[in-house]
Amino acid sequence: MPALPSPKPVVITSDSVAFCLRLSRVIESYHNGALPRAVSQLREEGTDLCRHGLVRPGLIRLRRAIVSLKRTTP
Amino acid sequence: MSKPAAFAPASRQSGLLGLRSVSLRFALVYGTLFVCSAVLFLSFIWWGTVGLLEHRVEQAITTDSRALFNIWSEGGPTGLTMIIDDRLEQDIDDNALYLLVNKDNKWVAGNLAEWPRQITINDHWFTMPVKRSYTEDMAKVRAYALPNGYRLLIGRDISGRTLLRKIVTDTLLWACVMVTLLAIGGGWLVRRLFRHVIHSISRTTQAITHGDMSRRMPVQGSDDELDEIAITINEMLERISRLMDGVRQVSNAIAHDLRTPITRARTQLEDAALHAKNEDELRAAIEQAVGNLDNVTSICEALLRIAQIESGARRSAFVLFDLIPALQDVCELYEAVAEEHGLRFVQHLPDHLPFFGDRAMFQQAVANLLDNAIKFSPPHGTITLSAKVLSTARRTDGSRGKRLRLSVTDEGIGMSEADMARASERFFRAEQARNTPGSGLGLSLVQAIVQLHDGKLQLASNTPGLITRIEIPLPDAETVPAQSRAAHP
Amino acid sequence: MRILLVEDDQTVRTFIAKGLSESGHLVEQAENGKDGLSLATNENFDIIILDRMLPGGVDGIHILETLRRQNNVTPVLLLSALAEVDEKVAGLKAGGDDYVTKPFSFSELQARLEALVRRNRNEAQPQTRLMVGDLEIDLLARGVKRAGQKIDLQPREFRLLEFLMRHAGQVVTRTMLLEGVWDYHFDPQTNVIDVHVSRLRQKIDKPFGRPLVHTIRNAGYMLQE
Repeated sequence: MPALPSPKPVVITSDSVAFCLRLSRVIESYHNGALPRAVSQLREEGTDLCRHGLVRPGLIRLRRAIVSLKRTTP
Repeated sequence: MSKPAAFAPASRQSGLLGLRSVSLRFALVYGTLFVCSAVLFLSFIWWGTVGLLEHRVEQAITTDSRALFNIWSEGGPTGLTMIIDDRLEQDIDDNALYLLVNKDNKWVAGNLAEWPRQITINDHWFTMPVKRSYTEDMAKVRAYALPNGYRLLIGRDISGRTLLRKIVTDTLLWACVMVTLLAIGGGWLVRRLFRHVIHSISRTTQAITHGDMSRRMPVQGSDDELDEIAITINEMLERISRLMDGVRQVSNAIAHDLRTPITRARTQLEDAALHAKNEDELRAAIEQAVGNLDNVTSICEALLRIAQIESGARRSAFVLFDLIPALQDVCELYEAVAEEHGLRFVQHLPDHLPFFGDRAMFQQAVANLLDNAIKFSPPHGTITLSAKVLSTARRTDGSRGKRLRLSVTDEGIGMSEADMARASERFFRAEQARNTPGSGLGLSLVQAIVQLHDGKLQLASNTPGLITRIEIPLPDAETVPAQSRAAHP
Repeated sequence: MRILLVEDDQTVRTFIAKGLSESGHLVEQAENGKDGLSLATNENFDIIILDRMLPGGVDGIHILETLRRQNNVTPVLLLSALAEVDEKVAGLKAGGDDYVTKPFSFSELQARLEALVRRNRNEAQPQTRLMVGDLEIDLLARGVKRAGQKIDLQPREFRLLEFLMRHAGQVVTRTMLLEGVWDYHFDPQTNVIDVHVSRLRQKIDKPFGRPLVHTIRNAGYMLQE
């Protein structure tokens, strides 16, 4: 594992409000918005957290929502 | 302790090192051993946790890459882009990193803004910094080449693991420090304990060296090895002081018993020098003096012989032989003497009796007993020599063994109980025997010879007279070779 | 006889040399092992008296072994203060012919010396018949006759007589008898030998008036006409 001298950090693009909104849209596209209660609650919380600047906790909630949708959708 | 020879010159040069001290060496060995084993143990823990975590990350990335290759071969860049998006959407752990670029190094898919400049080699592990929303983390990544100049970067954010690793490493380092401290403390304790034991032994032995034979090692009563050493040393001291008492007693006796004939010889010579009137008187006195000096010589010889027998060196000359012809030989020698003294000499002997020992010495023992019996018997008495084999199960190993019982019985003046107990002491002579000739060493010699043959000498009263009994373990009859009987017809 | 005496103690050496010279022997003396060895190898002696322990590195056993290696068969009598049986055995194994422990009486030494020289001469022709005066023994038939009259002896009495006859005209000490007849190497406290000799006398001397076995005061016995 060569450790390189002071490399410039690469930006992770998924840590952004834009990605939050994208995930939120992905969730909406399932079942045309007719979402289970738990999923829509996760989505709202996630989007909310992202808007208030807490991107990573928000992302976690949105992703959970997607995973639970994938599990219930064949 | 492993190389005391190598330590020796250094310690002679600098006393400060003190490596000549066994206790310090012991403590150092203890400490080193303790630290080494602890370090080994902690390293094992380190590899078991941190090492395993890193390995897991690498494994996850490799598995991921294989899956993505399959997708690529089926769906090309479009399929791969979809899958990467999918993965990122469902990445609950929030640590996955992907980047797919085309041959112009342009972004196609993934969550990294650009291809990191430092990653120039494919199929190689890299650790690099990444910028998250409000932190800067470390990530482990690997680049893969795809057809048509596409390149794929797969990675994991390992900052969570880095934290764990830091905690474990710190803990283990602290443990190392603690262990070292413990080792030093333990070593110091071991050294003190060791010194305590050694000093206790050396104090006692020093006291004994300075003449205090009554000192003994303290026994704690805990039945441990230290007690064992203490008990062994005490037993040794016990035996030494018993031997010393014996030596003192014997040297007193020697001084006394040798002085008597020497005094006589001296008196005779001085008397002759002063008063002899003619040559004949002078010669007679000198002859008497020589006789007394011969007596001194025979006492010395007997003492030396007893000492030599007691040392056990003659045991190497032991052979198997038939005891009966050997006994008959001695009897033949003394029969005439008994007859001369008007005594009846009766023998009860079996036909054969295989015996393991020193033939000449055993004959001497029997001769001494017969000598005594004849000396102390009044006329018309009977002297009996009998030998028989007793069967017993009294051997230490529990097997049935045979014993020889040889007894010489007389009807003489006998001995009192108290005298019997002391009879085999050197120079001991019962009061009644003071006026009979002899050195008082006969029974001591018999005792020594019997003990050399692992036997016992017992005296008993015969009212009137004395029974002298010798019991000696015999060899197994089967092991006696036939020629040992033929050897002494 | 020409005798070599190797002994480091001056008192003992002078004592032996004087006694032997008085008996008409020619005595050469050496006070250390080196001189003793060179005398023993370069000159001829009838007998050598050798102290076991000598100063100067060359001890008695060493001289003895050197002599025997050179096929020198001069009889050697060892003198030693070491009385133990093993020491005797070691001395005899090295080629010694007899062993006398110190302190010793001169008569004992002389008797043994003569026995040794005699044995050396007799070994040439093995005898089957020994005669002293009118006493005659047949070694093969184990028969004893005196003045033509048959005498019955016990086996041990016969061996005692045989020993005395072989050393006829020589002093035989009690120790020599004990060793030669009974093969015992210790001193019995009572006078067992005297008893046995007196029994022998009863049979071979008493009926015939003229004694053949004589008691030598302070020394032992002698069979002589």
